[in-house]
Amino acid sequence: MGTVPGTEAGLIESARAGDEAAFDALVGPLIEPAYKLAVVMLRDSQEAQDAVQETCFKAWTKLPQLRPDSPMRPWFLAILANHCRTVRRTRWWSVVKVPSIRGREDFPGGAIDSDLDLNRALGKLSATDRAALFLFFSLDVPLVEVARILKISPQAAKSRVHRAVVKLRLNMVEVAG
Amino acid sequence: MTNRQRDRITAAFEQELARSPMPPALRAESVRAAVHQRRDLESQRQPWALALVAGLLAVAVVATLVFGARESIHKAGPAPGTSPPSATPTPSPSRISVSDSQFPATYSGPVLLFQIGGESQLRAISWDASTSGVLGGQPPAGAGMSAQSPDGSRYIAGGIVYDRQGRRLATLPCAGKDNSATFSADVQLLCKAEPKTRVTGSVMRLETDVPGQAPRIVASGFAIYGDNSTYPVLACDVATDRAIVAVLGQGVSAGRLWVFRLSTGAIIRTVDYGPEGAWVTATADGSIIAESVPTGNSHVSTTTIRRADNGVKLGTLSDFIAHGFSSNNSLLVGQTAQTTLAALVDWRSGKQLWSSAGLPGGYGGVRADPTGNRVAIGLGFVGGSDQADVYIVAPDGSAVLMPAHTWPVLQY
Repeated sequence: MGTVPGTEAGLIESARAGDEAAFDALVGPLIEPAYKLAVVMLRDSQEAQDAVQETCFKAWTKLPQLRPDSPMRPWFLAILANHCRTVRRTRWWSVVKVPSIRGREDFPGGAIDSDLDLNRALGKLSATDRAALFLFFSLDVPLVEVARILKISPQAAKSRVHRAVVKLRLNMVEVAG
Repeated sequence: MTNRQRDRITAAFEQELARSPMPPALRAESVRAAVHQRRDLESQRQPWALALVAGLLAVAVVATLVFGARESIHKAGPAPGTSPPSATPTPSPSRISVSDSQFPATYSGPVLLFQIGGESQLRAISWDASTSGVLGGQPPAGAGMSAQSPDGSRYIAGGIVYDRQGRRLATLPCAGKDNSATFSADVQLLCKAEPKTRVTGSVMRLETDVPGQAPRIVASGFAIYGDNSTYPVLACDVATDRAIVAVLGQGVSAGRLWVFRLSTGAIIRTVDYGPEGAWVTATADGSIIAESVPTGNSHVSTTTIRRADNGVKLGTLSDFIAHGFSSNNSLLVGQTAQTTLAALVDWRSGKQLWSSAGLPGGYGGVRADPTGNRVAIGLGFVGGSDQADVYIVAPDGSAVLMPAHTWPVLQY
């Protein structure tokens, strides 16, 4: 059965045939969310840019493995998340970076203590926990799709989001706020 | 989960992301790079795929002619650019004479700096050899030049950075260790791989120096220093955000190589060449490397040209030891073991543009014209550091032979 030109399935078929414009139409809208997810997981802008470029390359080369009826976003973001996890696993031994000094501008003068607590607690979460929270809350990705991106079951995705929220001690912050 | 909790988590992420805005060009660059890299891969695979199909057909049709089929596979196999350089050297031009007048201070283009054996004064010559002369200002007598910037606007002598007019710009932070320093492509930085302390077992650091400022440590701990090894910086470019460092063992072969992101120190790729090692050179922008590895017979090497970031194979040259790229990355200078030729080749097509018969002492180094596509190639050492023959070779194969015993600082 053929696909309808202009639909995602049609674009996937065209891109698989080597149509660069179709690939751009498919992947282009995903670059910004992918970059943000990479920053959330890697906490480094340059590494995030590398991750997005690497993901694009893998997506382009592995496109024949994607069924035309499969949604593009979870597949693409799953490649990115997997790459980010690999980068984080190899990072600890590869280089010792000069620590960056955080200035006051990181925390605007009006920020209240509870927001500082939240920022710090968020910073202590694992990359996967941060990814789960970011996908679910910031990108409004349904839990079923969060699960596909992080390659876990939907139940595990739900549980991971819940546990991450608990780790943030939001209840206590709520009281303090 | 309340809406307020959701809003606060979202706001916290937004605050983090506001510190790392997405570069506007990331979308276009990522898509373009992905497609381009795949085409590179396909262009490498295609000849092999064709060879395989041809081989299978030959086996199926003429089963008894197995050896013939093997021969056809062998002939179909090599990709463009795999032929060894021709054994016939390009006719050698007459030596040029250089001017003993002062080099014009108004000349703003890139130059090759050099000394002539027996002299202490520094000279300059434009890459088209049309303008030459003695530099107006000179370093103190006896302070030999140990490095020049890609454009020749600066040089280092005795641990001091000078400009072309001989003005003293700064003392290097690590005076006396400048022999391994590499100017960045934009001339603003000196890039060095240095041990924390010069004791075997100390951790290696990649650092950048701006004359007159404290060194900036880009990365630390990527290797352990051995006092019988050297750690040249093969490429350092702010524009492409790359630095490439190799470790050379007791010989001149690289044992390991690191590709760094210059701004953060992140290691993009590490290559381990094992105990046999490899001759490795890199483009000035750090995007491409050429690895020359012995193939069975230790005198014959095959050079593989790869993308530095991911190792994707871009081309091969048989019986060729690569020593340096031209500034647009398309040409490669090297030598062959079988014919003792030095040659300039277009590595994508394998076309040999220029060659010269070797001299006693062998190959002596290369330096690329940073804005044109010429290269200076040194051949033969006579009595230590005196360069016997230095050619400036243009991409059309025309060459200029510098005066005898010309001594520029070449990359070996």
